[in-house]
Amino acid sequence: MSTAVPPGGQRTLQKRRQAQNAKENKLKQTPTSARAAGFGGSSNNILKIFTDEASNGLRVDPLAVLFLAVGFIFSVVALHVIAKMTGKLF
Amino acid sequence: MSSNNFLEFFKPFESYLPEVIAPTRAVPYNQKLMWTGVTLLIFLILSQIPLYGIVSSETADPLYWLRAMLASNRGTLMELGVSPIITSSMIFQFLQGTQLLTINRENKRDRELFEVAQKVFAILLTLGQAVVVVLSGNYGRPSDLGIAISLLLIFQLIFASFIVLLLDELLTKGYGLGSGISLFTATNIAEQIFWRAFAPTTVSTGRGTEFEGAVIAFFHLLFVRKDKKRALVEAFYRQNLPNMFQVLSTVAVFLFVLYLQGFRYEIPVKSTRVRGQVGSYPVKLFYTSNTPIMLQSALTSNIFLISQILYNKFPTNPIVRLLGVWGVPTSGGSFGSGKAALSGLAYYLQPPFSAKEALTDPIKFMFYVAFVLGCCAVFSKTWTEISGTSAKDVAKQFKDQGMVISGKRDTSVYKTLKGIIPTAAAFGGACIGALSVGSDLLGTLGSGTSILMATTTIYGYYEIAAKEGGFTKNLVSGISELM
Repeated sequence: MSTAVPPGGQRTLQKRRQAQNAKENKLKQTPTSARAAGFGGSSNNILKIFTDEASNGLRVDPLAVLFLAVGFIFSVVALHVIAKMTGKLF
Repeated sequence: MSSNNFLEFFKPFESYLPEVIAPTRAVPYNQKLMWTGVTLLIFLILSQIPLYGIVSSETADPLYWLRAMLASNRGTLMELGVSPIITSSMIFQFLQGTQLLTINRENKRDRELFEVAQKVFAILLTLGQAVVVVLSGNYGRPSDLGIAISLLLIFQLIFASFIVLLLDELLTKGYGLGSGISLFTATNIAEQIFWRAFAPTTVSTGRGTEFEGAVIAFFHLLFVRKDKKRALVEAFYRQNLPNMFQVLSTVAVFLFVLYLQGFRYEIPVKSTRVRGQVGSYPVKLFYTSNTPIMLQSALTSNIFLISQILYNKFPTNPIVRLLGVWGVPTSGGSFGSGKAALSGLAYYLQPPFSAKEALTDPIKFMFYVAFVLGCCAVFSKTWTEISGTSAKDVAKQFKDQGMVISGKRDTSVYKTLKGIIPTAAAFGGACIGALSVGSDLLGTLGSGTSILMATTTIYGYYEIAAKEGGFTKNLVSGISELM
């Protein structure tokens, strides 16, 4: 039979103190390197490194493939259009 | 570490090859349908945009016979179609089938390197083919084009093929319903058939302008002509352009192939591991689907290609003349290229243009039928061995999964399968060949081979879609009852 812990009391206070300490520490801490200071835009570099390690190739999102294809189609059409235009103008 | 030295050679390329990320969880059916549709749309647009920098494409098309199979369109961004991908996967499948290249399927590293090797090969082939197509003067002499335009043409061809490679990978990785290559081929064929039936283009003959599309011409003739009976006859039997009879025979062949697709022999099986689990293992009549007809048409296309090249180079050589004499046929229609084999081996391998031609030269026709049927049967049987679906492989699979044929001893699985699978494969291959010959004789829109390829692919997709749960249960059972 499990006994429910009553709300409040010693444990809750301890938790609150810990959270407060952690917050203060975080505020006081200065960046130790340029990278950690958000030099490269954002500071969640570790995540990036991990995804890089997991793959051993150039991994492409399927949406990127679609954009690549559409971009290519548009560029070829643009070439045709430019050829037509310059022929008309000059 | 991979177990193969040859594959290790491709290791350095691995980090440079783009690879579509596999979906982390199962893609829902609607999304799969959407990806398939969008990919198809891109492919179709690619195959309609002309290449930039072409001066002329007036010369006779050397690859006319291969176009339908490779999903390629002349003078467009899809000039190469899916040929580099097909060729490279064929080569590797062949190497693996003949045990020249042994890969361990359980080894993840092996599988990865195998795919990388295939892709590297496909890209190399694309490069080679693009250079050959441009330099061989397909679009005008390279010296006239200039070096910049030639390079631009090569770049366009390579990039387009690269995109097709990625699109195919996208579909096969699990975003689409099935393989991209077969989908593109089927689409190309379906597009051609629809174009022949509904083309709004007009052709001016001696008697005025006529619509090219069979159905459109049918209505046009019915409305315009005074004599309705003769207009009907004209619409159904005109020789120079697609007619209504061809449309009807195409529909008939399509339905008949669909009907035959449902033929299967069901072997009752039960599990030895989980008691009470019973099921059936279906062996379809078209056991190898459209592979035999594809291989057969690839073989004859290559013979035609070589024969044509040789005939253009050495028109008087007796051996070359024995292989094939090419020219414009005096009677009957011809295919779009205008040229056809007139005598020699190529003439005997060439499908008859009409039933009339089959009657006028019965020996040629008999030879042709025997060749196609025999070829398809042998290819089909060989393909089961190569692709790992032979009786021996299936028996091993049964054993691994703990399945036995119910009512038989577990030792007799191989014996039973050996009686069924090779027969099904050979007979199915011959049936496919016969269908192809039959539809050529009926004069369907597009060749019999291409219609068969399109139909089997579409049916395959339908089966996958039904399995994925795209249709309601009612519809599936309703259709299978109807079949």
